[in-house]
Amino acid sequence: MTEPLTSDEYRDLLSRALEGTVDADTRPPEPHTLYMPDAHRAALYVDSTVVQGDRGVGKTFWARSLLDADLRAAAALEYRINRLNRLRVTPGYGMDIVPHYPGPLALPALLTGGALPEEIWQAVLLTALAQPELRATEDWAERVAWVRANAGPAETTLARVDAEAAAEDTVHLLVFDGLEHLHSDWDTRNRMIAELLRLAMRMRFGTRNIRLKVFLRPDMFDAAKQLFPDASKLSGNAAHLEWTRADLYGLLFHHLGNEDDEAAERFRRFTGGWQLAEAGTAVRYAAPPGLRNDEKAQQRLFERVADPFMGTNVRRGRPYAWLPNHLMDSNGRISPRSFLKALDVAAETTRASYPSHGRALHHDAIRSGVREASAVRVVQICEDVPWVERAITPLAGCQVPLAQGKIINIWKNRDLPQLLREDTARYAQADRPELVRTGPRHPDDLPRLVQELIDLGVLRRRDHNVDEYSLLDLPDIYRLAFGLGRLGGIPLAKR
Amino acid sequence: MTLYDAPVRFDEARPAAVALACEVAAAGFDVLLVRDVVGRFSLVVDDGERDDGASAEQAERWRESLTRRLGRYSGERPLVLTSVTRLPKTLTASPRTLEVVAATGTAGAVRLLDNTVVGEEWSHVTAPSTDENGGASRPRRTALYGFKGGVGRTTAAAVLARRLADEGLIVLVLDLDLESPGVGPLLLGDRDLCTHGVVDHLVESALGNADGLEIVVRSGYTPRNRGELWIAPARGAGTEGIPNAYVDKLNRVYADTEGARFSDRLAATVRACEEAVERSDSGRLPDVVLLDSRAGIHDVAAVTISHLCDYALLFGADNDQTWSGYRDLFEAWAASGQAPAIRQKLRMVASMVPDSVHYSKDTHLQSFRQNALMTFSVLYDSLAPDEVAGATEGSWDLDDDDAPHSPIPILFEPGLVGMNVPRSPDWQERAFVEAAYRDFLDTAVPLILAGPAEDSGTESEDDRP
Repeated sequence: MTEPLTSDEYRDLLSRALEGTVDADTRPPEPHTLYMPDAHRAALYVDSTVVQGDRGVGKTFWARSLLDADLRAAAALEYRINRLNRLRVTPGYGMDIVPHYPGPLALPALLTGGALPEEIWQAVLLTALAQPELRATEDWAERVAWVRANAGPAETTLARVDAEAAAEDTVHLLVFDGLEHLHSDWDTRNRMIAELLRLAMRMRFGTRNIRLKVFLRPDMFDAAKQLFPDASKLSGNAAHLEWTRADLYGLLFHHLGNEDDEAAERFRRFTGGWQLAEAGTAVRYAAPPGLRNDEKAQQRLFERVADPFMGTNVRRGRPYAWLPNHLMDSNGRISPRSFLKALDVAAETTRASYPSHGRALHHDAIRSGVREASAVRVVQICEDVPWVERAITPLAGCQVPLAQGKIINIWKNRDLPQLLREDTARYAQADRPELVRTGPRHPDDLPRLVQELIDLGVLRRRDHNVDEYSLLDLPDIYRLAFGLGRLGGIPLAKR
Repeated sequence: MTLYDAPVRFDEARPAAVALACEVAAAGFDVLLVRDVVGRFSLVVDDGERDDGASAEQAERWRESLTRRLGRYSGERPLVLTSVTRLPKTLTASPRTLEVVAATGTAGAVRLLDNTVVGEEWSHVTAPSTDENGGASRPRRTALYGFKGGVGRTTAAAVLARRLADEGLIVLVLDLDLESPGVGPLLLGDRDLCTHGVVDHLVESALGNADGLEIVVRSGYTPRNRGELWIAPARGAGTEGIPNAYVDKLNRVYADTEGARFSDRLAATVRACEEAVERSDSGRLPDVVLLDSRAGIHDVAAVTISHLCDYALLFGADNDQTWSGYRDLFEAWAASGQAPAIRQKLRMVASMVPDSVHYSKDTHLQSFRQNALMTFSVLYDSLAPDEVAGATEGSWDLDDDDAPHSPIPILFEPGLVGMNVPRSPDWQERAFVEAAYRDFLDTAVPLILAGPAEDSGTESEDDRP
């Protein structure tokens, strides 16, 4: 029988393991931070062309992992997808500054110069497939011009590359990510995405060894389908990046088991069943199935780390369920980053406020963790979708639930549509194209803005009606940091 | 504003009276509102001694306001000044008064004394006292209540009782559904009913004649792990050859007798049933008592939920009747300042939850949860922007699993409809029954067994995951 860790040791291990996980977007994935939830396996299938996922669920993480040979090998091993070992992966679009695609400066200029979205994507594809004429220049306008004038040779190249790849038993895979930053204009962005999906579908059904993989937010996929209805044929094998409660705890235990120290080693020994995997130069341990998927086993382990209850007894709730419930957006989705942030803060707060507590995480400290996770989440969504900040900030100080009519009145008094239009114009003209942002689809139609906020997971309806009296609510993950109260003793909606 | 002088109705009288009382309190006096049995209000102003009392002019203005604003609902004596009329302490210091608005530095307090025929028990929440057994552990009492009947409450009580007994506990199920007894036969099995029932105890105890009644009986089911399962039926088997006279007895049980109100008498009867179990072979009080309460806004339910139990499972189906019924109850609790005391012992059960390939239970429960939150939020506190929802703050978010509004599901099972127990003694062991009650049992059992004041951190089970 191995001795389990003391509460202090658990707390220290948590702090070390979670340090920096909040900056996942800016830190490239590494073998020991690469956690593979079972549900994400489908996202890595070569034939899964569209991979849908909300903010912060791992689109960029997987896009980068696919581009990295070591991480790809690790995924091939752990997910048991051998085909990942026989890929040639090229970036097709993303937030990195690389020569493989026109960046945020070049792309708008190309479009202004008359290039069609389908020509631009075709040029990206043929460049990746080493069309000699395109490799001869680095100017995207020239490449687009060549594509426009050489439809025939382009087709020939595709057929030849496909046949050669088949002979070598490899697949050419182009990875597209960060498409929300394609263009500041909503319609242009959607048209670009629709044309990309059209090309992806041609490759998917017209070749055997050339594939595109497009990481997309679900709302962007839906918008593109309006312009290119056939794109729905891609949803048949569209994978979703989602995190269940078990996935989140699996991620936590993965981090604890992959620290490079003695406590992590004891943690692995005591929980048992960890698989050592050599990925390139780095070492990583894969958690045993029980800690990945068995909620009962996860709960038992988590309750050694955290208080068993959120107060005096079970009627106050159990942290294992309580924590994810308070991190959910209104669509029931949880960003892994919010989850890890909350735990990190909970460990720090316990250390500072309850240093002699018998568990690594005190239940009040878990509550503080939720508050901090909300702050991070709100910063995140305001960065990704700045108009959300415009729309929700004026509601600070109000109490939810709020009648839709009241929200719309607040917006009208602040002249929100005008502010949104100014924002869009400012970003479009800015000389800092990396700030290219998206606006709401219909800044003037305020009831539709409500619906867009619901689709984004920020707002939710509290009754079954949709009219000016219908009550709207914010889940805690947004309510706390946006500074809204919650009303007790709510009167019935008046009609 | 209506064009004609619309009469003041019952609903409007209370807010109007409270508003006026607050105006009087703002002048620095403590105010007691007394509502009589037909609903009329009198304003009792505690204005101290004759010298510093309210001026005649003030008093006239208050009296005039009350009669004008309350119409038919102003009392026979609309205004009483304690400086003029000396009132008995039993009225001014009655424990039944409720504080509506607390006193501040400058303003007086506003209290309400509500004189009603029935239903008053809803407005006072107490927990069963812990020391009534001389410090020894008291049975944990859980009430099962449904605002509307016919939602499977009694069947659930039977299933729950068996599970608890199988955990090695001594369990007593008390049938308080006096108007339509039911849980007895469900659990009795092949046993004979005891001679007397809860109703007999209520009738006999009013005359001090309850000694020697046979009011509990062991279930025919033999629990695992050395548990015991007992039943206190509403209606006993009676004595052979003598008519049971159940209706005649029932007509007398709700009376407040000399020296004992109905609520005290019911509490004594529950206690007597528990002690009857203690007199059996094991010599122990029950660990858990399940009170199968009747439906509707009735005194039995009021006493059971407000006073007798330390936890209450509220059954309901997702329909407007259920929610408006619960809303009425919750508003009564909230209006009488009982929300903080009552909300921590309530938990919603979604009964008869449909689950089919085209309509999953999750879809159903989502709607249920929304409606439950709308109804329960009457009892919840407001939250400041930086307060996280949860039990600590007395306010829960929609998805809180431990919230009072969070539904514990029981699946609708057509196979149980119209069941005749004697012909299917093993009904609880059937796979479809176990599936229907799985979530309910797994969730409800720990909640029932958790004491209100159990300390955290003490139970540390070190089993390997």
